[in-house]
Amino acid sequence: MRHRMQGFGSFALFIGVPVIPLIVFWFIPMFVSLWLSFTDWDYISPEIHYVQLDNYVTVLKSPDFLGALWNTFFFAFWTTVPTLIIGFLLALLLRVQIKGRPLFKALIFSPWVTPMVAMSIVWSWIYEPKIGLLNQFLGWLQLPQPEWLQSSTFAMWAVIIVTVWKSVGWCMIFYCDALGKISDEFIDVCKLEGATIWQCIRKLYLPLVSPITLFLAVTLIISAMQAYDQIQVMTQGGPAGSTRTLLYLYYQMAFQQFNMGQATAVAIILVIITAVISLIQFRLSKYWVHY
Amino acid sequence: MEKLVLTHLQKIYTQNKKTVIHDFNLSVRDGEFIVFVGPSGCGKSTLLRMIAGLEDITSGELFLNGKKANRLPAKDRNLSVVFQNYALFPHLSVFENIAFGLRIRHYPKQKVNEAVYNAAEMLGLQRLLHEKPKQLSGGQRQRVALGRAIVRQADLFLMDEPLSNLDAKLRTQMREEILNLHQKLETTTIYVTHDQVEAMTMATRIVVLKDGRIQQIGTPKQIYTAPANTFVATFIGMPQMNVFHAAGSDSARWDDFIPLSLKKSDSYTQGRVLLGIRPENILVAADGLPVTVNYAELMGADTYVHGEIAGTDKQIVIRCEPDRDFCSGETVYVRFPEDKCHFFDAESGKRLTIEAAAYEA
Ligand SMILES: Nc1ncnc2c1ncn2[C@@H]1O[C@H](COP(=O)(O)OP(=O)(O)OP(=O)(O)O)[C@@H](O)[C@H]1O
Ligand SMILES: [Mg+2]
Repeated sequence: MRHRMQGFGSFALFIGVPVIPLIVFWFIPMFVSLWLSFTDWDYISPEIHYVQLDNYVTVLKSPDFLGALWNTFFFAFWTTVPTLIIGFLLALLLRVQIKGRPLFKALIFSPWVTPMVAMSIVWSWIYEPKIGLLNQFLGWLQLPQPEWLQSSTFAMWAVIIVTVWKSVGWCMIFYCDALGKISDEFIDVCKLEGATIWQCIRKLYLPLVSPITLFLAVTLIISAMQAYDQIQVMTQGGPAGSTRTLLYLYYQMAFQQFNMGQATAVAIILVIITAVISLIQFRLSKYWVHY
Repeated sequence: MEKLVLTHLQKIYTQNKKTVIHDFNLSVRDGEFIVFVGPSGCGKSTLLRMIAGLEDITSGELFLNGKKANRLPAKDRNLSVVFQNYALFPHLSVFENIAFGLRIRHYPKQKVNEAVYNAAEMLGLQRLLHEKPKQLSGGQRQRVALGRAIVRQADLFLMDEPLSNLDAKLRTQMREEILNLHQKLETTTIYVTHDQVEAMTMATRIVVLKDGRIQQIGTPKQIYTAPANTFVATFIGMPQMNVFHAAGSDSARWDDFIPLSLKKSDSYTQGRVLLGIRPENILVAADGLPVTVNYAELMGADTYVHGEIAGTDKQIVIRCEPDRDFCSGETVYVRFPEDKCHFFDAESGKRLTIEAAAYEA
């Protein structure tokens, strides 16, 4: 009996203690938010009314929401895919033993350890239309010089570029590791059969790094769904809502318009979308991930 | 016809400027089964990789089918390699693994199927074609690796320690299968191993290597009965050949309790000699050289007696019939039959062609 109590004691200690913060900071807010999304709370008025699904209906019908939804997908796709591809290609390049390899690696990785806010500030200087570095460079190449952050066509791309730039190094480190683990014998087999670089990538590298690709894809999409810092610093969702993602819409509704009910509805929808996308990714992974 | 000729081949790795292969000369006839054998790090894999075109040749020449091929890309050498760790792609089925080279070379589908099924049949893999390598046993994986090698009908097989990851029993079995395959296909094969049993049983000719230098090239029988130097003598044979110091006739010294009557010969006139005798050639007799037994190992078919020559610390191993019991501390008398003795120059280790008399009390 005493034995069992002891067992329970250590169980409570090791499982219970980590669960407490999980409950306090994650489950409770989650359920409170869920509850709020069914009310018309506005932060100020003392009374709260239960409004059933009204918030959801309003939100789903509103053009702001649909625009933000589209922006979110657009942003998630165009950050995740290029980050994966560029990260992979950089890692592939780094297989070649060149002199300054560690330095090069560190350099590409450094944006990842820099705070997004600081980086976004620097980039908003780079994007400055007249004297910014980027347009100076484009002008020197005789290319058009768009007003990056002030134009509704280019603002989204500007934010995407910063996001990709930040996470490419992180992605590359993972791919470097995964590629490094591929046995030289495999590469010898490819050489013996005369495989071209493209055949090697398609038949050898890509399948063998696929577990890492899955992990990176899921992580990158989730972090794209949660992008906030760079948008807040560089565009505040503008111009004309062109960089307003769901999370940013939530922020604006909740803390600028004090429409807590609808804001939490947006947040809940965002959580559901994220969960569904991750689920689909894991489901599909059966067909392309090889462990 | 000469399939492969290597002349004055040398390899220096650029990274560490180390000469790994020194002046390697060999010519391989069509259909031969050549085994490279030597201790770890002697350069066997390096040689094989140079032949395969996976490693640059520093100097010397390599001829394939009579044509100089130093710079011929690996894919155009029409050879296939079996690697030590099989190198099977974990994400491809057995079928696709075997078909890999054909797919890369864009063979038509019909031909791929035909070739893969033929190879699978030859190796008894028909029922495993849709499995992934992870689901196979070691022996089956090895067979798939062989399948990938034979499917393209290359005219030279290179195998780098293909059996070293298998257990003893499976190794014997796969050894036989590889030999059968060789008999059936008659493809010239170069086989690398550090296992002398594989070398002795499989080779038509053995190349013994040490530190990147050829020690001896010969048939298993030549290597065993007439080793070119002490290294080959002790490397091939289980348990190893016993090697003792003996004295030259000029100095007329009887060294280390091994009395020998060395006749004068052209190749040897003075200095010290080494006497070698294989454990199984030593006769246990009623009189002769006294040996103190340390312990005996019963191996089943025979017994290895470990001891030292009485009054010295010279270790000796005798292989004899298992019907006699030996106890530790016992003294036995041994004789070395004259025609089974090997003689080597003590300095260079080279084989000497001198005649010697066996021990006579
Ligand atoms: N890529 C390389 N760069 C530098 N030195 C190397 C390289 N590959 C092998 N060597 C050196 O060359 C020597 C021969 O190596 P090799 O792999 O050919 O030996 P091996 O006979 O195949 O040994 P094993 O039986 O252990 O496989 C070793 O001393 C090794 O340190
Ligand atoms: Mg080797």
